Amino acid sequence: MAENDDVLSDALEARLELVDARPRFDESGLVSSRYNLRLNPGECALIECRDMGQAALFADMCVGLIPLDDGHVRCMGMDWADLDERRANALRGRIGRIVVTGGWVDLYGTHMNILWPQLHHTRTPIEKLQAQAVHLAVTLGLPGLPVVPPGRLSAMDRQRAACVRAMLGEPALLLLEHPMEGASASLMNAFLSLVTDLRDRGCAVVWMAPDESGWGDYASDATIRLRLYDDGLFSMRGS
Amino acid sequence: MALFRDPVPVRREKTLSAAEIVDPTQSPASDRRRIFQILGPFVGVLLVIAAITGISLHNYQTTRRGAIALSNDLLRSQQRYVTQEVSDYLAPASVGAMIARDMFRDPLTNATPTTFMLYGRSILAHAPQVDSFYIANDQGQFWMITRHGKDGFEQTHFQTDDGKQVYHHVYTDRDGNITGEAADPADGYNVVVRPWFAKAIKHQNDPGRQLHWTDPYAFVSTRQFIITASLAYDGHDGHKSVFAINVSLNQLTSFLNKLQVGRSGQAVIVNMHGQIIAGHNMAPGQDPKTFDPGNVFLDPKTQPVFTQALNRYRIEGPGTGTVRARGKNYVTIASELPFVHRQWVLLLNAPESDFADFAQTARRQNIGFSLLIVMLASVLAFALVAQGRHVERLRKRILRGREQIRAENASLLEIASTPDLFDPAHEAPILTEALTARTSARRASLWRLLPDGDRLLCEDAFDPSRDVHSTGVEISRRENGKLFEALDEGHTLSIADASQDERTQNFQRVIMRAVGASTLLFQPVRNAHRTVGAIVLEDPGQVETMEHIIAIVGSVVALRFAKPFDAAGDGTSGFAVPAEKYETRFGEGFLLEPSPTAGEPVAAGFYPQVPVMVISFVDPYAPDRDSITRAMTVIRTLSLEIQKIARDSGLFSVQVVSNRLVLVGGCSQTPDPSAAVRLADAAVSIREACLSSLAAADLDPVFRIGMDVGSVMASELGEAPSVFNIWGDALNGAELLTGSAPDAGTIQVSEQAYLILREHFLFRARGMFYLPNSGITRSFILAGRR
Repeated sequence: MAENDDVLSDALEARLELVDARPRFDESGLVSSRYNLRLNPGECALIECRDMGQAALFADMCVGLIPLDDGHVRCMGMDWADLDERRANALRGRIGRIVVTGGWVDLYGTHMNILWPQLHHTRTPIEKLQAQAVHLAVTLGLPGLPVVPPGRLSAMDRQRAACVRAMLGEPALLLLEHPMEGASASLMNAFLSLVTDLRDRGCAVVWMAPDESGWGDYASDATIRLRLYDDGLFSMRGS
Repeated sequence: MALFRDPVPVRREKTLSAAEIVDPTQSPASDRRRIFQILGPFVGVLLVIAAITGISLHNYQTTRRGAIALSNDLLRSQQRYVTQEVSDYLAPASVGAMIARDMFRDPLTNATPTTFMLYGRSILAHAPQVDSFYIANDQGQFWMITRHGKDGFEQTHFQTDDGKQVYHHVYTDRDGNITGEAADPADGYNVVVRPWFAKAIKHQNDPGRQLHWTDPYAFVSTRQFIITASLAYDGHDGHKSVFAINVSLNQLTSFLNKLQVGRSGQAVIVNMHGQIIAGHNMAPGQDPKTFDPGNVFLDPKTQPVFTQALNRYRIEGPGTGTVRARGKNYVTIASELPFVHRQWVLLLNAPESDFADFAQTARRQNIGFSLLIVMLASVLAFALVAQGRHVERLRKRILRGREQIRAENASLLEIASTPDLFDPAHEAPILTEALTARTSARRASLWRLLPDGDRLLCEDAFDPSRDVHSTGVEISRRENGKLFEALDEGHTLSIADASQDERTQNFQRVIMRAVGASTLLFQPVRNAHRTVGAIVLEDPGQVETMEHIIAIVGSVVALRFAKPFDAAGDGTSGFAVPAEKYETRFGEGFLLEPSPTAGEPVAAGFYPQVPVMVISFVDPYAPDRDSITRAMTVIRTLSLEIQKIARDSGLFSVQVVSNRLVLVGGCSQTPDPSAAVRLADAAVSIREACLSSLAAADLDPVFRIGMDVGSVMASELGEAPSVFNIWGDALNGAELLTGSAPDAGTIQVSEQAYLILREHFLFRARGMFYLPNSGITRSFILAGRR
């Protein structure tokens, strides 16, 4: 691994790869069974999971926040276990995520919540980030970049803002925990078009929802459909 | 779609890495390795320097200590030698006096004391340091013998001739034969009061001090610096007699001056007060007539080393030491001369360099050698650093090469897996995409040579920065004669600045300037010895590694272009404007025509505050013809209702544009709040009408309404008929608000509209939003009338 450190990451490397990953139950709460998943650039996995709490833990495992007893979780060819804190955080900066609990800091405006990750991880000029964020916000049905604290936005607007935050800055991997809960058709359309654009540009997507309605008609465009049960990931029939 | 994916992420990732503050792919281990590679050798050199310096210093100190110890030993032996010499020098005085005391007990009379004279002649002949002898008694008798001329002697007697006191001189030869006589006046001379006489008498019974030494003084007649040792004894006649022996110190001084102490060392004998008894430079350049040897002291200015050595002796007693003066270190030694009762001190000094000179030389040589070693070590260190960097570069190049091969293989695989790759009827965008991805070119394009041989047609050009394929541009031989010549000859052109080369000047102006490219690679494609087209790369980046991919793409393109052009499509020749024409319809599109205010048509111009509303209908998804017919009916009814509402509300105009309606409340130069209120009222009515109609037809409420108040431009466009049109900020705002209305069937209004309407309608705030051009604004959802 160390030998390859200086090499540009390979575009053909899997964006997310779980190889017999067995999380440590007592430290995570995620059942200690073996998880296997490989997502190449542009691929999309739809994962049905009744318990969104468990889905959130699974997403945590994908971003290397859960210690493993065994196996590997790799993101863009890099094993989380091999990375020091600094590099792991930097790698997380390449991942866009919508968390089911919102993950907002209510002390600051929503715009700061949206721009922070990219301001922290990159040197992209703020004007460019603003322009990107406004474009995403308008596409997703906001009249602009919301500046009030997230708590004062309506639930739908907050959901839109969460999508903007996740998609800002060309993420290499999207981890979506039920992003379109109760979304209108137009929001769904805008969201799907953005997801498709990102996938075209090589972003891999993990989309988790409690049931099939969570991703509407998108099921047919997914690369793989899975179910997340207590005892692991299972492929859905017909996918 | 899959074809488009892979080349793009490579590029995006590179830009991402550049913007990232911490690049996770960059291992800190490689940074550490680089730092070690550079710093390691330098630290090594520094250690070598430190070690050499330490060793040299230690060596020098050890050598110096050894040299000083050696020189101290040397000085000590010198000192013993000098002490011995001085002791030998003064020995005749003490020994001679003792013997004389026993020999000359006979009473002194005016008769010549022959024993004394004999004794004196003998000693004077053999002991050069002895200057003269006296013998006297308390009756005033005084006899003296000293040297006179070469091998002669002078016997002097103090006597009274004819009442005159004179010194009577008798000159003799070695054997005592009288050779002459003379007399000097000696008025008032009384030997009894002379110090050498009186002190000797005084200390006659003082054990240890019986032999009295005077202070050194200059002897008038001989100009000798002498010291007198005198001894008193009782004669046979009961009178006290004194025997004195004069020792010349000049001899001692010249002995000390001749003494070699080291290479340039010096010796001096002083007493405790710093008065010089004998020794170095006692009287250099002094006038002998005025010079008083009894009054010469150490001068701290000219003799700082001796002065310091004496001071040290006064405090610490005899011993060795080092003194620093005149910028040099001196080794000194001080010891007492015990055989003279006064405290005479022998001082010796010598510059340290006389002894430790070899240590200094060795140190200088050491430093020279050390510098040489350090220089060599530095050269080695630099070489090591350079070598390390070189190896690192090679390693990176190998890794890059490996990466390159992998990427090339991936591209090759993609090209190979493209279906119908060789069929010109199917487009193969992967070819240009692979070219740009592998060569980092600004743009890559494939040009087909048309059958007439005079035109090149761009079949596919890919611009990776915009992710766009384009096609259809044509260049002809007429404008690009030289380029076509090169093409015919099959020469590859690689031109750094295409605008300066006459072959490509025109091509650069027409084609490349659009993307701001200057470097050009023009590769003709030949099939069966016939040119069929060309590959063009603009601003290619990795020139050295792109041969493979160009060759691969070239061979594919050659096969694609080898087939006749017509088979690829209908070409441009088939294009013709259909003869059937419709009459263009202009003056339509208004559900409600712009109403002239007070009979006057609205003047063209800028209107600062115009309420504008946009209603947008989402095109319903129509699975079959029946439902389309049903929807058409609903839309028809709806349009009638909207028209009626608009007319009743007195709106300025209602314009239909595709699936949107643009409603203007009023268009006047003076702001008219009532127009906005009328428009909002109409909006509420239209919403109700839409909701009820759509619900009746069992359709989802698929419309959104946005309203803004702001500036617009208005003008009549065209002629006969002319069409009234408005555009500007208010319309853009209304469009944006429509598009971003939170839910179907909602009316979203801007802050400006809210300020005018809030007294008449109920609103729900949506929040504050930022837009780059207009800053932070609030938007509101219009709920209903108050």
